[in-house]
Parts: sequence; structure tokens; C-alpha cells
Amino acid sequence: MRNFYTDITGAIAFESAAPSGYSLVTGSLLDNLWIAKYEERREDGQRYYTETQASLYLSILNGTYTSTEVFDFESYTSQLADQIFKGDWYTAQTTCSDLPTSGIFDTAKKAEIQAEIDDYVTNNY
Amino acid sequence: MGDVLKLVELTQTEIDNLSDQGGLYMNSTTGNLSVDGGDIAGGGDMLESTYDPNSVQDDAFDYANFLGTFQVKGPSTTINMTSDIDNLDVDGYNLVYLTAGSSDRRITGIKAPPTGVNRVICFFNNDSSRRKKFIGNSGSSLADNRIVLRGNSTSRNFDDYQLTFAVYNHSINKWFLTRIA
Repeated sequence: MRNFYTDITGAIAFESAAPSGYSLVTGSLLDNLWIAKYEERREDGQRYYTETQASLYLSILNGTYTSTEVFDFESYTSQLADQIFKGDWYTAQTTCSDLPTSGIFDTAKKAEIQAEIDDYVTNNY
Repeated sequence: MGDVLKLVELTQTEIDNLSDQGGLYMNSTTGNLSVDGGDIAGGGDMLESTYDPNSVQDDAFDYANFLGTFQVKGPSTTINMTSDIDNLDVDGYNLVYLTAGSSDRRITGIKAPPTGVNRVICFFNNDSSRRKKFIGNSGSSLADNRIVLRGNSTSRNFDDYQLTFAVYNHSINKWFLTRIA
């Protein structure tokens, strides 16, 4: 997992290990950096959630899914959606993995969502 | 008797016909001043190009004439971000249009202005689908070129069709941005 490191010029790096010339950030700066990081994750989650909403609605309009199927999907994945919306991507990674397929949350859709969450966690945690 | 200062009104022809033109004259027709019969060219701050560079030629105390239409002056440039950019050099440009055809891109720093120059740059994300990111306090750019983001964040999204102003803070030698995502 990544943490925040700084060098003598004040540069901040968010890495899994200290880059050469960097040391771990401490004190209130570290607190503030983590607050900002969680804010970023929440904003990214809200955007992802909104994009998914729009995509599902379009899928109703173009006849890919029925509105009933989409309502069922939203209900079935509500815990996962809440976690992503709040920016809890790491938690959502496990939630998605543990959630059995159902309805249009089929193997393909689950794999698609899982891949996007995995990619986000890989690049941001 | 002592010297007498006498003001008389002369036409330009009468001035031209004087045998001794030493003196200060005002043409009664044009209102122009002349010294020793020659026009005063004017100079320095009194040149119209200096005191009225925009040729407003109207009441300087009228607010609209004084302020005019708000403008970010200066030429613009378009930068197609084919890769992430460190130490972005947009010297000479105050309006910067950012595009990126195939991927989201990052800006880790912007070339700092010289001391005493209060630089402001207006950035537009001209893409309909590609986000940019401004990276905070990134070691990829020189220390004075770095950006400080809201909440000391290490990254802020610059969404499609968003605008931000970058303002250089000479107190801590970093760029600040008006609020983005």
C-alpha cells in the first residue's frame, strides 16, 4: 500500500516505498494529505457511479436492458454502489469479488466492474 | 515701472509675422500651445498612446470607460498533450487550451514567472471526454514550478470542458489554481 513521502524541496510522492532522497511524511501534513486523498477517491467514485448510472439509462433507451432489469441491478448492487460513491474503492474491491452474479450483474458485467475497481486500487492505493 | 505680463490674443498668422517670436503662445482657434512660435510636441506620459492606449477617448472617470470589458489580455495557444507534462512552458500566453486525443494526461508543474511578475494563466480543458490532472507538489517538476492544490492534495481532476486560473504565489513560490474538482 502507498504512503506519502517528501524530499528536501518539499516534493510529495505517493508511493509504496520511499523513492531515493525521500522520507516518510509525518505530523499534521500527513493527516492533511490523507484527508485530501480520501476526498480524491470519493470524487473519483462519484464520477464512476454517475457514469455507470448514465450508461445503464442509455442501455434502457437503446433496448439492451429493460427498466425492471436495471432497477433490480441497482437494488442488488446497492452496497457496492454506496462504497464506490463514498470512495471506499478498496472495500468495494472485496464486495464486488464476493457478490454472486444475479440478473444483469452477470459474469461479464461483474468482470467489467471488478476490472475497473482493481485498476483503480492498483493505481491509487 | 516694473515688467508687465500682458496677455493678448493672436492668430497663427499674427504669431508667424512677429519679428521676435520668443514667448509662450496659445492659438485662440485651436487651443494649441506653442513656444517661440513652434508647436509643443508633447512627450512621456502626455502622449495619447501612453495615457489612452486603448483609444477610449471618453470620460476617464466613467466606470465603464475606466474598466471596460473584462479581458484576459494576451495571445492564446493550444497544447495537445500527447504525454504528461512537467514544467509546462507557456511563456507569452495567458490563455491555454488543452487537448489530449487518446488518454487522460497530467501536468506536474508550470514554468514560474520572474520575481515581481504576478502571472495569471487561464487554462481550458477543451476535450469532451479526456480528463487532465494537475499534480500537487510533484517532484517531476522544478521546485519553483510546482503546483499547490486545494487541501494540499497530490492530485486534482481537471474535468472535460472545465476552466481554471493558475495564479503564481511568490510568497511560497508555487502555483495556485482556482477550484477544480
